[in-house]
Order: sequence, then C-alpha cells, then structure tokens
Amino acid sequence: MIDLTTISFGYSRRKLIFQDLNLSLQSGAIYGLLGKNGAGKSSLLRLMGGLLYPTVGTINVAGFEPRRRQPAFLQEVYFIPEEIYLPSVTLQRYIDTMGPFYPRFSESTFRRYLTEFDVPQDQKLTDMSYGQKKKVIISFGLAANTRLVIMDEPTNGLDIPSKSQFRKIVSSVLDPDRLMILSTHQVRDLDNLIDTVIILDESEVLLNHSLADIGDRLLFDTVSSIAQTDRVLYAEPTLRGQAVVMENPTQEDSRVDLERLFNTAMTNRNRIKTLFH
Amino acid sequence: MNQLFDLRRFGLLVQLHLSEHLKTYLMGIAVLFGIWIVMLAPSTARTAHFNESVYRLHGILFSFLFGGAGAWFASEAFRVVGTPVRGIPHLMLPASQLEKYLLGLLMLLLFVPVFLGVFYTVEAVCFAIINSRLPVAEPRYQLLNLAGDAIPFDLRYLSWAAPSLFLLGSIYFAKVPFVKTCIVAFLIYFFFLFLNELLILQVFPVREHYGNTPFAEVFFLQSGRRYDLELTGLPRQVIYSVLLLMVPALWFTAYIRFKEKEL
Repeated sequence: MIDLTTISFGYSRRKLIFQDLNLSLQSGAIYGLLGKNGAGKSSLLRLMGGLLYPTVGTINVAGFEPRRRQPAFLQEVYFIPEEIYLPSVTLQRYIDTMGPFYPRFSESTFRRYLTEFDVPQDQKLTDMSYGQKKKVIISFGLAANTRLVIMDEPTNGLDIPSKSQFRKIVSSVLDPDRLMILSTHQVRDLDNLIDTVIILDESEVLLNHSLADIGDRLLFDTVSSIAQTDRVLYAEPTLRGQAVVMENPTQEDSRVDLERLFNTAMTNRNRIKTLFH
Repeated sequence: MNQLFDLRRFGLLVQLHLSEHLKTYLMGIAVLFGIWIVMLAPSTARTAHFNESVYRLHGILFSFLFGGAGAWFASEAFRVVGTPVRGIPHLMLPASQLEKYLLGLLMLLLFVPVFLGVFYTVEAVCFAIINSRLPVAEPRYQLLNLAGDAIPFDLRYLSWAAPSLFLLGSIYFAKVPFVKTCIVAFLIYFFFLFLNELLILQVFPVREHYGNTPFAEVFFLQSGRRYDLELTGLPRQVIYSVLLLMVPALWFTAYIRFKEKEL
C-alpha cells in the first residue's frame, strides 16, 4: 500500500535525514516504527502523509502521490500527530462537523471506543485532560475507517490502563485492507500489538521485517552465562542472568522482545543488516 | 468526486470553521463597534455646524482602521498552518488545497461587508445625533462616500491592498506574521517612495517645493506659481491596472505558497 522509492529528504541541503531510501509496506499489518531521537521517524510519517516533500524520489500511498494532498487521498489517511489539537466544541459538535469528511466514519464505533477508553462524552473537548484528548483523537482516527492510519507517538500522555486498552482496540480494528503504522520511542507500548518492525538508523531502514521473520532469525533468551560459541549479538544483565539476543540458525521459537531487538540493532547494526538482507 | 473543488465539501469546511470560530468573530464585531464608538464619539459631541472636515476625519479614520484591522485579520487567516499542532489536522482534513485556501480568502472577503456594516451603523447614529443639532439652513451630513475626495488616493489604495499582502504574510511567516509583514510592508513602501523620489528628481530637477502621490501625480511651486501634474490616458491606465492587479497577484502567490506548505 505504501511505496517509497529512492527518496532523499532533509531539512537542509547539507544534512539529509534520508538518502536513497526504499521502503514498501503492505496492507493488513500493524507496523511499528522505531528509531533513536532524531532518526527521522516523524519525518518519514509526514512524508507518507504528504506533509513533507522528498527532495528526490517518489512516494506512492494507496495509489496516490501524497504531496498533492487530494481529497480522495486524505479520505484514506488519518494522521495522529504527536502533539494534538482539539477545538473548543462539544463532542457531538465535533462529530457533526468532522465526521462528514470521512465517508466511512462510524459514530457508534467512535462512541464505543470512547466508552472503552473511559472518556466522558458530555463535556467540551478543551475541558478534557491531555490524555483524554489523545484518546478522542485516537478513537476518531480509528472510527474514521480510513485505509491508512498513521500514529506518531500515540501512547504519549496515556496512563497505564489506557495503553493496554489502546493495544486492545488497535489490534481489533485491523483488517486485510487496512494498514497502521505507529512510531514510538517507548517500545514496550507496542508489545503484543505490532506484527512488523521497522527500525530507522543513520538515514536508512535498518530493519523491515515481520515479528515471525525476526523470530526465525534471532533468538531471545535468558542465560546464566555466555559462551563464546553462542553467537550472542546483544546481552544485558537481569536478576535471572543475562538477557540475550542470539543468532538463531536452528530457528528455535522465542518471543521477540522489542526493546532488546532495538538495542541489538543499535549496537550490532552490521550483523543485523547481514542477517536480514 | 472533484479533486479541486466540490461545493458540498466546501460547505462542510465553512461549517467546521464557523463552529470553531464564530464566537471569536462575534466578539471581534463587538470590539469593532466599541472602537468605532470611541473614535467617532468626540467629533459627534463637538460638531454643532456642518463642516466638510468631519468627512475627512471619518475618511482617514476609516482608512487606517480598515487597513489595520483588515491587515491583522488577514495575518490570522493561515496562521493555522504555522505550527504542526494545528497545521497537521488542517492539512490532513479531506478537502482540497483550493477549498482550504478559498475558506481563508472567503473569511477575508466577508470581513469587508462586516466592517462596512459596523462603520456605517455607528456613523449613521453619530450623524443622526449631529444632524438633529444642526441649524435648519445648513446641509445635513450623509454617510461617508468611500469613493469620494474625503480619502486621499494613496491612503485608499493602501487600506484596500494591505490585507492582501498580510494574507500572503500569514503563510510566509509562521511566527508573529503581523509584525513581520508590517516590517516587510514598510520596507516595500519606503522603497517605492524612494524610487518615486528619484524619478521626480530626474524629471523636475529645479523646483522650490513639491509634493506627490507616488506614481500618480506631482505638484510643485516655481517662481511663485503652483503646478499640478497628473498622469492621464494610457500611462494612467497602466499604473492603475498594475495597482489593481497587485491584489489578485498577491492572492495567487498566497495560494501557491499554501499549496506547497510543508510541516
């Protein structure tokens, strides 16, 4: 559904954030976009949304060129930015004025999500707390039923129960024709939610693979000691021993730990590139 | 579905805009009434006889307030896309770039009848009060004729053209667009004054005293006689056409800039 072909982008000509970047994302998946601060996560999402223009290369999203920001394209994309804005109106007024822009918007679904998020529905949007506002935006974005949902740091401002509720709701709305992409620097928030991981580092896509693929090639384990022959890519001490990420030539089953995966990619980028390319 | 302009979609956009801003606009109208009352009340209280100077006062006040308020209003038109917080939801709203731009322009155009309505309402009340006090033999005050001589040509033009420049400024400058556009406007204005001055010095090197309306007319004193010169015929039409076309040119530039806005 999303194809970025040899794109380059930078806020200044001298320093490019992306150079000759290629990326292809398929529908029916929830992508987690990970990267260090300044790696270009938000810029990449904005390029997909047509809010930024690549200096070189082409972007295709659901058959549209995002930079043209055509209504038909915008009806297929809902962008939840890191910092949010809601007008000083009631929830019903918000539904009445915003809903008609999205042909597949469902008010009943929106209200159901709000109920699940425990958001009061009888007060002005500006009277809500930051977390509640964020939940309103997330609920609306999901109820708009657009084919692509882009979320930039969606869990910022959510309390612990809400994060869990967020994972539950987001995973329930995925269908084969929809694609969701979430960026975060709090990787634990994406546990049990995403099915594909994209890691951005040093102007390139270091990793773009499904959790199943990653599990086939990497083994996440906890060991009491590390032997030279273990092909350990990353290790960190825990109370129960060493939490490790190892190469997985025998394709043993293990649960992918996103935080350890990310640290592995940051500390052992060349090996990760070799393993996955 | 038309990707450039759709009336239903534009209607939704207007509805959305008014649902967010109508209260602010109504408060703005109330403030405008207050300003006009404060501005016109002193002359209303003082005037006991018919005098053309009242028209000149109203004309100059109108020009400055219309230009100033219009410029401020225009500088707010696209401020929404100045920052990502408000700009991203606005740019990602499923409406065309043209519709979003036209919304800003429509609000600016609607400012004109609203401002005129407020001004003439307050002026009508003021003149009714003054007229009731005037001696029977004196003529009555009529509402200000904006096309008449009460407002100098350059002031009239600047007050009507300034909002368009500030409309463009609201897209160019993300922060404090009004102040920044003011600075640019003054620089442009002084540049043209200087250019006009240079041309006059070339054409009329010897003069005792002169004054001018830039690029339109000049008068000077020589050997005790006053000479008034103004453009006529084709040169006059060219200058007026350029001045007139400046406004749609600014609107078009603002549209292009808006279309290419990145956040």
